[in-house]
Amino acid sequence: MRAAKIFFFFLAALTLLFLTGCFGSRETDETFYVLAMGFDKGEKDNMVVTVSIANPKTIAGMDGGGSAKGEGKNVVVQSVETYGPLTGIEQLGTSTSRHLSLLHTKAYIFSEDMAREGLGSWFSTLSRYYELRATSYVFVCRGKAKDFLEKNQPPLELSPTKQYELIGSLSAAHGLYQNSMFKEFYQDYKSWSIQPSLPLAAIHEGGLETAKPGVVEGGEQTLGKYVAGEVPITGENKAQFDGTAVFRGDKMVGTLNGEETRFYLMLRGQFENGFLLILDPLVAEPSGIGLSVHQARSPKYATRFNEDGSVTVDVDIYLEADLAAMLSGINYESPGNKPILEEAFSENIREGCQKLIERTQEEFKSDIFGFGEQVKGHFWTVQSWRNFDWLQKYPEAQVNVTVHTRIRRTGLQLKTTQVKSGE
Amino acid sequence: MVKIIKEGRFGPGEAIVLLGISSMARIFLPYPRLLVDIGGPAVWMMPLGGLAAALTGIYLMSLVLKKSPGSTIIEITEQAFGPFIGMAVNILVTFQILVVIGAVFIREFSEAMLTITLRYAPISLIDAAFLAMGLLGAYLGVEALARTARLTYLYVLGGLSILIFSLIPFWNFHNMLPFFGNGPKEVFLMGTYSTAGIAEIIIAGVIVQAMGGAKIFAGIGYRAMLLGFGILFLSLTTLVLTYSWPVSEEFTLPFLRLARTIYLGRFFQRPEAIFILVWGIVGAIKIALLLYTAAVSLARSLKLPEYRPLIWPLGLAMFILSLLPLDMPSVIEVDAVYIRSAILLPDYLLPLLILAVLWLKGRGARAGS
Repeated sequence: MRAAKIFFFFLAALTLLFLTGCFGSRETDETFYVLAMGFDKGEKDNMVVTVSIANPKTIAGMDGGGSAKGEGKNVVVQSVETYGPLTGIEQLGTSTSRHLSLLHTKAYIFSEDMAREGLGSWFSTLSRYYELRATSYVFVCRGKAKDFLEKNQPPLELSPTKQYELIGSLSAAHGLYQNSMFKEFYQDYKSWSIQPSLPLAAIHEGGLETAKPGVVEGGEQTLGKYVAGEVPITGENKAQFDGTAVFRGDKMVGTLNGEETRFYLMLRGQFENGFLLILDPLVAEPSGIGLSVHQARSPKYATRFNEDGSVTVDVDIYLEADLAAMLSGINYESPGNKPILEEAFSENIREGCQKLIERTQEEFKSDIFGFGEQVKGHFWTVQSWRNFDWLQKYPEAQVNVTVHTRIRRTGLQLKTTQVKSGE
Repeated sequence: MVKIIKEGRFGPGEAIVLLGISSMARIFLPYPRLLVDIGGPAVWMMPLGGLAAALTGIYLMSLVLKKSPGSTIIEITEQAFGPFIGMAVNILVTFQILVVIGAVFIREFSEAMLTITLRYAPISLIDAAFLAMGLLGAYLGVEALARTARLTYLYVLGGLSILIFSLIPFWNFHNMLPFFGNGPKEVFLMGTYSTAGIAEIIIAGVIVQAMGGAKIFAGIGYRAMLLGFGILFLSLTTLVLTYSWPVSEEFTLPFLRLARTIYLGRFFQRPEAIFILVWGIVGAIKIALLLYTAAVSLARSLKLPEYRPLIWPLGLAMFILSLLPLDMPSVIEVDAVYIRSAILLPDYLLPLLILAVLWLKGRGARAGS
């Protein structure tokens, strides 16, 4: 018995020799991690796949420090013209020494041209792939995704993996673009009650000359009048994220600018924070008032069917604001003036939301707000809901928006003292 | 005189956990997808009918076991149907149900492992690894399995709780609408039919003596069913809240998708590696319990004093059967079409038939006297 025990012990020890690794195992130093993947229409084949690969030498601080300009970048960008996303990965593997992995891919960027043709089949392909994570971010790029990935070199970012995650979370700080993950787009384009939308990205080629006229010059009094690629910023990194790509089914049908994106987020209850400008209601000449706004709570929706079979949706949006900037010098901090500002702001937002809804009904014919999710509650079974065909009925629906704003705080000043005129 | 098979003894707590964990194994497989396919957004309601049926099944089984408190369902079947038909029924149940279910579970767990992580490993190797765990567990006996289940259930349930709570940020309650999903018939009728078929009722009938006898059988069974179906209910609710049903019904392994969706900021994400361990534990317990029950059933049917010599041939049969389906869709179809229906027979029909036959025999005896 003792001999048998010793035999089995040695046998067990011997098996360790066969347990040095599993089938198909890949060590970290045998893999290149794709951080972002871009897709453009191809000229001779279906698409151009571009990958932004983490550069382990630079990230590990092994590039020598004194490398020439252009070397030592955090990411290496490569492109291939190919049939589909996965064939692209295979083909790109012919020019790399390691396996290309999507396990750490944080962003999938589709060019506007591709988005307008439809993304469904490519999303299905990626969704099936075992390395894909449904929590990756997805963007639509105005222009070429290849150019975007090549020129997107954030100079202040130490870790390239962080960039897209931080960009995704930054949406909460201003609401000029939405935060959209792979799973959300995939679900929405298969849904019978909501249509998908994605944030816009682009490379800004110009300088300050792309600025649009402000309110003094007869333009709009808003900082969200741009879409990605138009925001007049100069500096080293040319990449911009601003606005929303609107889809009907899996096809892109239009864009929203940053301001419209904020209204869109408010209507969905996803607007977290943002600095909004309105015209001073008590001053004749154009003068701006800045409010730091956040959504106090989720919107209230009420839906009802009319006699003619159409649907009415009532949306109540609740906002809270802090006074942030005033040029007129009127004492809006006083309880007497505050309601005037609140009412003016509510009306401003209501008007913006109403215009946006009309746009989605007439121009896009796409319920990106998910009003269908509310209407769905009137139906008991999937079959009756599908027969109702909400997405076809959405353009005829009556949507009424009411905005409730409360200015809770006035910043570090509780009163604005009038300046004695020098004239 | 045939020697009594030594099964060991364990308490009600261990028994509840053992049967509960064993019955939850199906949530890690493609099974939830099948339910979403049937019920749509109302999939979360589907286990309610199954639970009611399972509680009824436990009640019926307890009535049967009380007819002969020192015996198991195997001996009572023979008492009811006679030595030849009874033995034939028992052997049929052993092979048709327990061995086939074991084979399907081995294959499905192996396919899941290949899909998740060990993508280039041969299926036979993963199959053999699961079988080896099953063989070891069955050899050590049901007491060892029950104690293992008792030791690990906190990790298993803890892992499930982490999964459910971590997904709360992704929940959308509108995913549960329309309320009756694909229709009341699909949700309640098909839901009951699709969820009521669990091997644990017949398994409990076989290991009843190790659990403490017929007297406490019903109490253990009810609690185990509540645990198993409660976990199924929570898992399906989490699935449909996290992913809308048109997408959920596409998933090969819905639970894996849920685990991979967890994203609580940059710090807490990618926890699926932890869940693979949980799956491994649950899979091993399930396969070992099925193999053990099959061996004990056969040994009792054949009046053998020891079940252990049967483990290897039955395990080999499971292994071979598990490799017969050509591919993953085929084995999933076997599970959905064959297993879910076949298991209903020993769970519900067999106890009813036994009760009917024993009642008729009793009436005949009373009339004769």
